[in-house]
Amino acid sequence: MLPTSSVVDVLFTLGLGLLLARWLGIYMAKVYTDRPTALDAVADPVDRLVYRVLGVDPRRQMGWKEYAGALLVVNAVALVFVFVLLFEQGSLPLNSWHVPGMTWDLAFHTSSAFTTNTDYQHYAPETQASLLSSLLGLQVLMFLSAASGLVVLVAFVRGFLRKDGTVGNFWADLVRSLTRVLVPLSVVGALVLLLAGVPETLAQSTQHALLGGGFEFVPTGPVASWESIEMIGSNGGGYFAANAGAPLQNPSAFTNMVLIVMMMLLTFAPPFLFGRMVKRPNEAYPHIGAILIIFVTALLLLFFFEGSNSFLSGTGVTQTGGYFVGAESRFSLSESVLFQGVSVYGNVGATSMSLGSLTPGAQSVLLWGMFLQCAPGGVGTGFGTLLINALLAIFVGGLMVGRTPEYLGKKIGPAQVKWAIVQLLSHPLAILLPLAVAAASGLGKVAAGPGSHGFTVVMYEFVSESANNGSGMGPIADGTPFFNVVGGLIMLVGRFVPIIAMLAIGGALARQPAIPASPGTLKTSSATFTLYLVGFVIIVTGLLFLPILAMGPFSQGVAWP
Amino acid sequence: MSGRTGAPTRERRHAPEPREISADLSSGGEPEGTGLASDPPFRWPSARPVVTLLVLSVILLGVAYPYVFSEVAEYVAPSTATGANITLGQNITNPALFWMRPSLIDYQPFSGAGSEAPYGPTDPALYNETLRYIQQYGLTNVSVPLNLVSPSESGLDPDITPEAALVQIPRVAHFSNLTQGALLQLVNASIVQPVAGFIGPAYIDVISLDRTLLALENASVLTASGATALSPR
Repeated sequence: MLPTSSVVDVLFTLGLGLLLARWLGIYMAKVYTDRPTALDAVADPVDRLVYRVLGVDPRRQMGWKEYAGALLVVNAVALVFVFVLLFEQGSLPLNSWHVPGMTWDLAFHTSSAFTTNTDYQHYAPETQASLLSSLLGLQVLMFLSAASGLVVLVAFVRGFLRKDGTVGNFWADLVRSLTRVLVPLSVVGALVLLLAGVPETLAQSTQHALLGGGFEFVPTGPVASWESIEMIGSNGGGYFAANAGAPLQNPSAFTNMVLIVMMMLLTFAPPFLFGRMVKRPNEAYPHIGAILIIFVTALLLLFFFEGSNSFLSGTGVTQTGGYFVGAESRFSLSESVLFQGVSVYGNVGATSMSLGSLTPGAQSVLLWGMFLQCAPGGVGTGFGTLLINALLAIFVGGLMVGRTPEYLGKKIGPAQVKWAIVQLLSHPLAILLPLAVAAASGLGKVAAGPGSHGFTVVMYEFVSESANNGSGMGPIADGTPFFNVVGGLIMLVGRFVPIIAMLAIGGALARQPAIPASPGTLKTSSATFTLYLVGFVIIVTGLLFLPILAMGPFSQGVAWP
Repeated sequence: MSGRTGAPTRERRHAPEPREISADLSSGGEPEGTGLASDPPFRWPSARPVVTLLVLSVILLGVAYPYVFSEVAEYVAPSTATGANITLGQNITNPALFWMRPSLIDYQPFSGAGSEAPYGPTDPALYNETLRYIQQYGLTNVSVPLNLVSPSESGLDPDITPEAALVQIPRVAHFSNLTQGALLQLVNASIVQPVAGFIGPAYIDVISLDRTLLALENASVLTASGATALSPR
């Protein structure tokens, strides 16, 4: 199906990403359990200084509620700050493109999008965001939201380790996530991108010679440093509207590969982080196994569906290189598709091809990844979602065979299951209610056009927002107050309800004493459990979402002549 | 709770040490089971860490990080730091030159719009637009690579596949003073090969191909007549 060079290309990229992710997961386990690392010499003094400025005691352990409270307040304050920045950018400095202030609804949507790690862009960066807003506002949120995702996961996992009800110190976790994980990775990533030819300048435009004589102005900026945290933090908001399809953001197939690896780092690292943190490295394998089974299947389907579009067979075009509509020529189709698979399944949401042009089969596969949110899902919260699925799977499985449901020595009791259900149901509710409103009121049709394609586009928007993914399928006139306000709310629900659920489950686990393993304990580091987990996740997701998938891309697909 | 799940004896045998149970009971553990610690008390964060964290983040992550990098870029990658070297798609209509893929944003880098096609994968508009592009490129009755008659994501894709260049050779030869054989050689010589043999496709940068072509052709072709009839859009 794929040419040999593409197979080598895909395997090399995925292999490199996984290897680095494994290394990173093991390193991060040290960071979050206060074991020595190579960065301590630099990071320790910085951390101490930051703690002193913040006025916090990094050793004081918090319960999950206090931890969640601090996280919510920090995120809320950052959101308000960026909202004001975007709203007022027209009268603020560093605005050589003369960008006017955003309307209140667009500013709400944009600040929510970047706070929630979604980075859904209803604005065009070139014409609607000033350099000041981008750097001081949106880029800061890209760091903070990625760090928030990491600390939630770490607090959740600590539930398996503790019995005194504490889940860690929020400030210490947040600061360490920044100084020891996100900032060093972003610096290295930005340097690689810079050397590979991605622009990095504080100038906001540059001149390009035109072939017929004369010049044109082209937008530019600190793209490499922005893009580094965009990809590593699973944010996905582009410096340009065309995101990683824009030649200035992704100038070559080599930078495309670098970006794919950067997206894989923190999204694929958590299983390894988890295994090391709970001191049972083998427990990483059922999770990474389940993720890879789902993810690789999705990739193969994407390659298959993007091979050609039979709808065009009567026009006399040849599709030897694949279905090229909306893709860039400097990437092979397999590279564009791999980027898109990693980006959407990792809830990054960056695009290097236009999603509205994908074949219906490919659109379904991408939607499926956002329904799942856990293969591998966004930084921190993606793996948190998988852990919740694992807890539910063990609970259901335990009841079926009459064993006490327990995981890693912790009983799965009413509190855990209650919060797991909250997390599980928040996703479909945040999608289906607004989708029903948009469909019934006709607002969806006005924005995205009639028929199953219009329905798919509106559905994709809400699914992407609820999953905190941020990729957009066009065309959709979604810069309206309805889509801005509803979209902003979907993103906040889709982000913070699961986060509270994860912290609550972590807190509930942390209050229990550990039960030693017995012959009746379900062995979770096994191939059987891996396959069971995959089946569980797929079936639950299918039950929740197959109906709307049938109304959208499936019916587009069967409408083929 | 443990009694209902079928393994009561095992549960009892592995119950937590007595010392912990008494400690938990004294702290008023929850009714759902013995051995549970109670939730630590809740308190809101004080204002100082919240505000100082935001201020520090803005200074270090919003200002220092990109500023330092833009300075570093001028030293380690002076030729690429501004992005002026990256070729972008332009509107080429001269029939004596190779053409780019169509652009949904009219090749305007400051349009600010994403370049999403206003039609889906099974929309009749896609079919009709493709036919229209085939006509505009003067390629009816030949087998046309989809690459040349499909819009890119960015609308600024400066590249085409080698096949998309080959199919244009008859037209370029007709309007210029170069033979098809010479153009074939030129196209083959300008194919950018995959890095290390597997990263990226073989493709052609139309701008650099056309610059070479312009240098070869004499100036008269630039004013060739009949250009408008065949120009894209």
